[in-house]
Amino acid sequence: MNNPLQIVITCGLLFIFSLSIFLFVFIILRRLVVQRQEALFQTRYLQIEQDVLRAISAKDSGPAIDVARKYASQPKVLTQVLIDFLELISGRGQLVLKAIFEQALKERCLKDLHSPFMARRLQATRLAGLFSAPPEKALLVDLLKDKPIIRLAAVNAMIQFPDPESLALVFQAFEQESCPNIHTYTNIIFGAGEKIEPFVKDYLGRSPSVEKLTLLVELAGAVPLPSLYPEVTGYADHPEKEVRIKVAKALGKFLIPDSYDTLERMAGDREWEVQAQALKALGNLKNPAALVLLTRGLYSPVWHVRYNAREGLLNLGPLGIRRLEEVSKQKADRFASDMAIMALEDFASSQVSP
Amino acid sequence: MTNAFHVLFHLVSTAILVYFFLINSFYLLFVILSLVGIIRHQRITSYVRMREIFSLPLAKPISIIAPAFNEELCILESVRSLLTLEYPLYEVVVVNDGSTDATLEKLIEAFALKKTHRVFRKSIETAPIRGIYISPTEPKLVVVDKLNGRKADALNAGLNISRYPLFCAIDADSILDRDALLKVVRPFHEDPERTVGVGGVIRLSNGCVVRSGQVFKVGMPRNALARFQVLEYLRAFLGGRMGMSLLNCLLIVSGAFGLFRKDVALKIGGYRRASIGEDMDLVVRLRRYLHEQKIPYRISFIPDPICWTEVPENFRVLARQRGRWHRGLIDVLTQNLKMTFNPRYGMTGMLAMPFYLIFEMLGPLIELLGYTLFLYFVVAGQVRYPFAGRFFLLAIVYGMLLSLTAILLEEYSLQRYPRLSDIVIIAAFGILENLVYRQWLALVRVKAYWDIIRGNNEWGAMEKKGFSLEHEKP
Repeated sequence: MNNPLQIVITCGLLFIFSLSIFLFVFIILRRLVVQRQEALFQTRYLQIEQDVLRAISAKDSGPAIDVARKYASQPKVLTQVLIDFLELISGRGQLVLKAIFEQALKERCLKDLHSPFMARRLQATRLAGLFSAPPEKALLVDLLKDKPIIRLAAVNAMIQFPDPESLALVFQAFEQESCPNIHTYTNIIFGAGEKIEPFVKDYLGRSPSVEKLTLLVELAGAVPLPSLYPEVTGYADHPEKEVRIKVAKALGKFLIPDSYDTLERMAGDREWEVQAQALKALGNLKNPAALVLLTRGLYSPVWHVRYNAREGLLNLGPLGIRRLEEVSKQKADRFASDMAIMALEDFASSQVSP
Repeated sequence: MTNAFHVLFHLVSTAILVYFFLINSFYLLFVILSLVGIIRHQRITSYVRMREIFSLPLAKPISIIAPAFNEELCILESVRSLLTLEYPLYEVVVVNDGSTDATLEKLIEAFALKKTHRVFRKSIETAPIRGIYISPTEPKLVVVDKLNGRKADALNAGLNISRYPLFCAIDADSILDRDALLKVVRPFHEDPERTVGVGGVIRLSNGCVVRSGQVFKVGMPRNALARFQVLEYLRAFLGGRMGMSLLNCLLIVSGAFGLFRKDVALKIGGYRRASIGEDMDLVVRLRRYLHEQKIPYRISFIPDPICWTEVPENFRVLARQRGRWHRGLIDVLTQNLKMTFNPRYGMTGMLAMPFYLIFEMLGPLIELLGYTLFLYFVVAGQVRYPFAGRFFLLAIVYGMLLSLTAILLEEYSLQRYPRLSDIVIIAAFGILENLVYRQWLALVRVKAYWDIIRGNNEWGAMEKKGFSLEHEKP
């Protein structure tokens, strides 16, 4: 044992061996504790579930108050039961759940909104969004300056009650948000539906960054918000291709007959992506005047343009089908003919499928 | 002369010892990083309700591409599983890569497939396509029948035919958890500008019960060889890949389950047809291209979307698989040698590529050299047995520590093995693997070099047993 290498190896061996034993014991004990906790959780869950069910079916608020009083000391299980029920029921039942939350969990939840632990703040934000009444939303405003995931949770919570004040705050947060998160914002904002119209309108008027503009135009189309037709059309000649693509997409969702001229112009755009989207939108309009443009699209050298032209022609109904049949028979352009044949086959199989 | 030899041998053996400590320390570093990443991930996902966020019209549609070669035993179960996934908009493109068994016939019969005159954009050159089939009952399903051209070629054919901006490459003998797509797509929504690829966890379906296209009951495989692989998969996915993902230098997104941006994949010409390890090859070429173009990007690993796959249960097939993996690794690393130790490629060039080159590619050679030297010392009567014994024990205990940390990661992340005895079995196999299995694998991987020298570039057939099915009782 005089050799230093031997000493190092022996000490290393002892250290790693002890560490391994400790780790093994830790894993086993942890598993036992987790299993025990899960079993306990399950037992309590079933118990609380029964009582909550009774409270929901009761005619007065007495049982709800009893549940809140009885289980206030078990916030984790009670929270889970309330969340699970909230997803399943609607109407008066939801009011009962909210009443239980108010009595048993609200105070703790509000305290947790300012917890130094992120996971706790996150959970509290979620609960506030699900169970609180609109006045409590003011408490969420501070969280809009928190870490990105908390900001998103706060926005998600505020959007549950999409009153003008909350929406104004949400859009303000969106304005200040850096790019990586903005897609998630739009996903959340989408949930507020048509109520976002004045805010999107206001925002579109302020020439936002290209990324945000692209998302807002897409959002306007996805909801859809046809009243924003003038604002959206205003960006049809935007220098950024992505914006023009979304404009064409949105116009295809608005289904405003007046948009035909704009889409006709976009079908001749210098970028094929814009052409493809414009042709699809023209098909959605179901305007027979688009027949020529859509037929021309079938002969495009770009596959996507041909594909969207075929989609457009299928949308035109019998008129488009007839044109597809004509194109499928011509021999001058094999690609156009192949695309038309495929469209007709897909159409035929869609008629067969249940 | 003899003295010079002895000095040289002692120098080499010291170098091997240093190598041993370095490799295990790297693994330990990755495991520690993974633990941090997994705990952070768990905290966030405990809040995020995937269905609420992603079941919206703005969620990006996905094309699942499943190349199939002689998969008649499990193809139907796999396709059924793929058709029942939870995701707003996706398609399933099964590419029958010239199977010589009844893979295509089974698909035609089960889904009433009809040959269609479908045209597609041939962005990448592939082996000729014999037919494209669609199903009147399953609108999401497209089956492509083509001449055999290997997996990379089949994936390229799927890429040509797919319609959506994201594609998920999976093995046709795998089963995805129902919410796997919802989970794996998360980075594409959180960081859409930079995210280029995302990988998920691969688990063994051996020993599990499959019901209605889903893994219904997770169990420990009965076969000893498969049990060794349980631990290997845990270490590789929850340890190595998660750790590398945190350092943004992940080089492998498993071919059995990976989601990528189609436009970027097409820019680099899709999968390289000649590649053997097509999954690693794609990721390395993506990284190379994006670094060279100075485009900011992320290729991440998410620890909870799960794909279940069947692993070999006999030595012959496992040797074939591992030999192929190692040939693939050598091929990718030598093809992209200029990235190694090249600061232009960031962490990929300075950490990941050297790590794979020194520890993964050359590892088996060095390991075998160590065993040979030990034998030489035994024959020459120069072994200091107390020292050698202690070193051997240290190697086992270090390996055990790594295995235990991988089990700990599993406990913190997924905890899919329900019984306590499963954990004990995995830990026991973590010790046993150091006795024969590890040495055998080193030999198999060294043989891969010999195969390359001989020009043997065969894929090698994988024999499958199929999933253990349990149908719902009426």
